[in-house]
Amino acid sequence: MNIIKSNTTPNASTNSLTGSVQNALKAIVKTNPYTAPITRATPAAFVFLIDQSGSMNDQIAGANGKTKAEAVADTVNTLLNSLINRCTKSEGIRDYFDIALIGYGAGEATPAYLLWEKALAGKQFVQLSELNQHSVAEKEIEVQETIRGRVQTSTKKIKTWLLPKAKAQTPMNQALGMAVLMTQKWISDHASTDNFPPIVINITDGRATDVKTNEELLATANELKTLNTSDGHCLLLNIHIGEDETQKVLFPERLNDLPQNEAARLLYDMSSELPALFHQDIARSKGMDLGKSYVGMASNADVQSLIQFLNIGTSTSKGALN
Amino acid sequence: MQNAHFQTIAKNDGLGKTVNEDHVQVFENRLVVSDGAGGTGLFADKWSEYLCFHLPNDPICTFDELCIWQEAIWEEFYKEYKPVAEGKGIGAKFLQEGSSATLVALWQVENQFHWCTYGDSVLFHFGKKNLKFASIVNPSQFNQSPWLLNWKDAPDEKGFQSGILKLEKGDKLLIATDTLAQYILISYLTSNPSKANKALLKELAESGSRLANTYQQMVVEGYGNKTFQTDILEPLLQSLANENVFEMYIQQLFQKEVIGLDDYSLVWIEHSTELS
Repeated sequence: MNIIKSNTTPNASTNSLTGSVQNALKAIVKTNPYTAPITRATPAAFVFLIDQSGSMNDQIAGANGKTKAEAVADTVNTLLNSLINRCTKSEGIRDYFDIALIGYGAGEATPAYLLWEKALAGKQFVQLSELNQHSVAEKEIEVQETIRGRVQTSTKKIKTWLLPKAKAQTPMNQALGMAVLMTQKWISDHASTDNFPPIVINITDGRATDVKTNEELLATANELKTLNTSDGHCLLLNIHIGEDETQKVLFPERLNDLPQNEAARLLYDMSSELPALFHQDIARSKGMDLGKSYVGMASNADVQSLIQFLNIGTSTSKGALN
Repeated sequence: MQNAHFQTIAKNDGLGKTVNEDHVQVFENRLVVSDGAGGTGLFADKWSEYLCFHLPNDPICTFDELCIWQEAIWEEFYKEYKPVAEGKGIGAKFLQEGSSATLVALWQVENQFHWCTYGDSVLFHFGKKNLKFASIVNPSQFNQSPWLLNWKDAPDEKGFQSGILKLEKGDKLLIATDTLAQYILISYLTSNPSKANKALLKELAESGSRLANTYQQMVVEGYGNKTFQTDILEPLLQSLANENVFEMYIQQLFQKEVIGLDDYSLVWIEHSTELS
């Protein structure tokens, strides 16, 4: 586990920005945002915030006794394997994405911390080719595929970067604050090019324990959502995983889609409205006609909906890679 | 095939040129363009080249004929590249996703052109003033995933089109891979604002897609006031003179943001005499 300084008061973070960061933040968003091609020269970024508080030791719905921490680790690792696979060409891996993993809780010395381990320890954003070289574990599995009626076999390496952990409180606001700082830096580093804006995905089962009011958390979320590249504002997606799969809601169109639950409604307010790019995938996943707008949140997600949400939330990569 | 001019170039993403996954092949009586789909599978460049080299002498007129051709050639490619993929540790991806490419093929049979397409590379037939035929007429269609020929799966009839064209004196046939085809089609619609064309552009503009951006940029760049044949098509065709000129011309379009980033291939066939 790697600890970095995260004691910055989240909502005061912009006061300490350097000139170049300030300039990057001034980028004007184009008329038709969220359309930048994702290339090696103009990569996109994903930041995952992982709740590692004690309640993540509880079981998740629909997973035969798996804890929430185990299910989240499995799903994030699967997603990272999938992103690497998607960007693998015959000549090697193309670095279309920069990935950051931030944990919070787990009783560490600081409330929020970077999760990369071993050779990646201390790094904030990691490119896919680097990620592929430095997992904490890997196993080989046999893959079977039917090719024009004939079953063929091959082997595939499945890698692990995130290990399940669950301990202590839920300092979500500190984690969001760290995401603000890292995202600002990433935007500053890419200020001269037209990059798809970073997507921050927060996976939690509880409520923040490091704020006195909801407004504090909302302020940090809004700070993150106002950061922008020329291609659009950062997107903040929130997944609340739960034990009651009968109450699950994915990508609500309006507040009334949610149950009368204050935590769910707070996550709704924190989350970004998703750009049109995602709408077709969402409508298809719901088996419904195309809605006018969708908010990037899930409430009471079980394992299947966690996987579904992450696949859609990172679907900017489909068909847009150059 | 006489009077066929073409260029095919790889994209430059700012970090250098990548492998050109398009392939163009001109034979005596036929020509073929294939756009290897790098977004899925492996060896897209090799697969598009393989398809071109193995195009049959006689026209593929029906979907069944397409299937028979694919069934006859897929296994040789698979057997050649499976060990290559396994040697690189990516055998499972090769097996699960295969290799994908589009296809536009044209055969000259006496005074007619037989054609077939699979996917979003486009065949255009221009008269002296108007677009007489295009294998894709609605630009919003480019926002959908294209049909792709893949050695691992039998083709789908929904992705196949075929037909026969007769050229009149001065007519032009163009074949372009998707991103250049988008430029040709959208610039044509923008500079010829009939009621039907406006409806297609409205649908595109409302899609919120990357291609909607391209269209909006064409409007900003004054494409609505251009004459398609002289201001848009002729300079593009002139750029086929050599690879450098073509690359520079495409680069200019890219800098104006009226074309996306991709590999680009264009074939032009002109008939100076009427075939009858």
